[in-house]
Amino acid sequence: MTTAEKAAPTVSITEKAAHQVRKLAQAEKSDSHGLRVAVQGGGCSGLVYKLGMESQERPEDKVYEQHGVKLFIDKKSVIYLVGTELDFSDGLNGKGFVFQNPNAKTACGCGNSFST
Amino acid sequence: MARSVAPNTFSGAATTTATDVESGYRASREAAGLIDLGSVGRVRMRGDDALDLLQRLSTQDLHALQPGEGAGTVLTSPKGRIIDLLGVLRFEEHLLLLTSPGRQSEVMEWIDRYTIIEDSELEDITERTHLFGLIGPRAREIAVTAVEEAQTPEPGHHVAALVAGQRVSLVRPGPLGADGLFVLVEEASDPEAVRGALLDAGAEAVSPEAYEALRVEMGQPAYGKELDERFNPLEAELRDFISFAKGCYIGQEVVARLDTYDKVQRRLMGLMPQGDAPEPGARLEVDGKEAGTVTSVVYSPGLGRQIALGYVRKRHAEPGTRLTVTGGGESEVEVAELPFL
Repeated sequence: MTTAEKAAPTVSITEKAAHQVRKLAQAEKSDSHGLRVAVQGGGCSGLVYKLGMESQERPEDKVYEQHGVKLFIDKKSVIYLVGTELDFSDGLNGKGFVFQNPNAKTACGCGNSFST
Repeated sequence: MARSVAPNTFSGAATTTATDVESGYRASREAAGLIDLGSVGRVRMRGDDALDLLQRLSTQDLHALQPGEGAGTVLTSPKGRIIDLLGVLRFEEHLLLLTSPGRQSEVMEWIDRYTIIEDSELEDITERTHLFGLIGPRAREIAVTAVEEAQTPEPGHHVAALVAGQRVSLVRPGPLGADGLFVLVEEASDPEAVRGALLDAGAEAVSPEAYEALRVEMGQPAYGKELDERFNPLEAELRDFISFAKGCYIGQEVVARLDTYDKVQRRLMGLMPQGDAPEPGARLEVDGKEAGTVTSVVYSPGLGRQIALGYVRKRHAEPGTRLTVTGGGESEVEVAELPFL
C-alpha cells in the first residue's frame, strides 16, 4: 500500500541522486530503494535536513516516487520541503546529497542547514 | 564542559533607597542571604528527543548531561545573538529549564518554533513551583541545617531533599558564588514553609535592590540590560557556556567565526563613574567617537560608591581607560575588570 504521487511530485529527486540511493540500498542488501527525508530544528541556520534509508511507510508519511526511489517524508517536514529537489554532487568538492529548496532564504556554509 | 548552572536569575530591579540596598546585603557577603527568585521562569521539557533538541538549539555541549546534573547554556538566534541564558537541570524523567525572569513564554515559543518531528513537550510550571537562592559563605551550612537529610550537592549537581516537610531540589549553581545554592520548591509543596525554615536556619532575607547590587558587583549580566538580541554570547562573556567542539547548533557558524577571526567588537566590562553616575543606556565616547554603552548602574554597599556595567569597544576596554559620558558634561567613567567584588 502506498500513496505515492507519480506526477509532479511536491518533493523530487534527480536521476543522479536516485542512482546513489539505489547503490546505497544495494550495499545494504535492501531492495526497498527508499529514503526518509526529514527536517529538524538545529544546524547553524535554524533548520537542518536529515536523511536515512527507509523501507517502511509510517502513518503520517507522504510518499513520493521517482526514478525507482521512494521518498518517505512526514507531513510536518513536507511543509518545509515543498518544491525541493534532492540532487547529488560528486567530484573533489562534492557534498553528497544536496537539497535545492526554494523555501530556504538563508543557508549555512556547509549547505546542510537553512532557514525559511 | 562548564558544569556550573547559570540561569540568568537577575531581574534588574532599580536601586531605590539606601535601606533597601543594605537589606540582606551584609548577610549575603558574610553569612547567608535568602533571595526570592519566584520570577525566574521554570519550564519542564519532556520527551525522548528533549535533550537532543536542546543540544541543537543552544551553545553548551549537553549530550552527556546525566540525571542529577545541570549546566548553563545559551539559546542563540541564527545570527548568533542571545535569546536567553538558560539553566538546564536533568532529572530522571524530564529536563527543567530555568529562564531569565519572566522569559518563559518567549523561551517556549522559541523552542516550539524549531520542534518539528521531535518527541518533545514543554510545560510552564513557574506558577506551580518556586525558587529561592541562598548566597554567601554560610549558604551551604544553612541548607544543611534546614534539610531533613543533611547533604548538599556537588557543584553542577542537584539533589532531592525535604525542607520543613516540603519537597525541594538543592541545586549548586555558578552565579551565586562558590557556596551559593538554588532551592527549587517542587509542585504541591509550600514555598512559605520552605522560606520560613531557611530563615529559621539563619539566612537573612535579601531585598531585590540588594540582590541587584550584588549582581552588578559580581559582574553578572541580566536579561534586558546586558543580555538580549542586541548582543552575542562572546561579547557578554558567556564563554564558559559555549562549546566550540560540539558541532552545529543554531547560530554556531556566527559564534565560531567571531571567535576564530577575533571579530568580537565589544566586551562587557565594569565601569566606575567619576562624578555623577550615568543613566543606564547612556552612550560613552572617546574623542567624540562612540566607545560603548552603559547598561546597569547601582550603588555598591561593598565599595561604598556607584558602580556600573556596560559594553565597551575592545580597543577602549583596557581597565583604567577613561570614557566620556555623552551629554554628561565633564562626567567620565573608568573601565574596570569584572567582577568588582
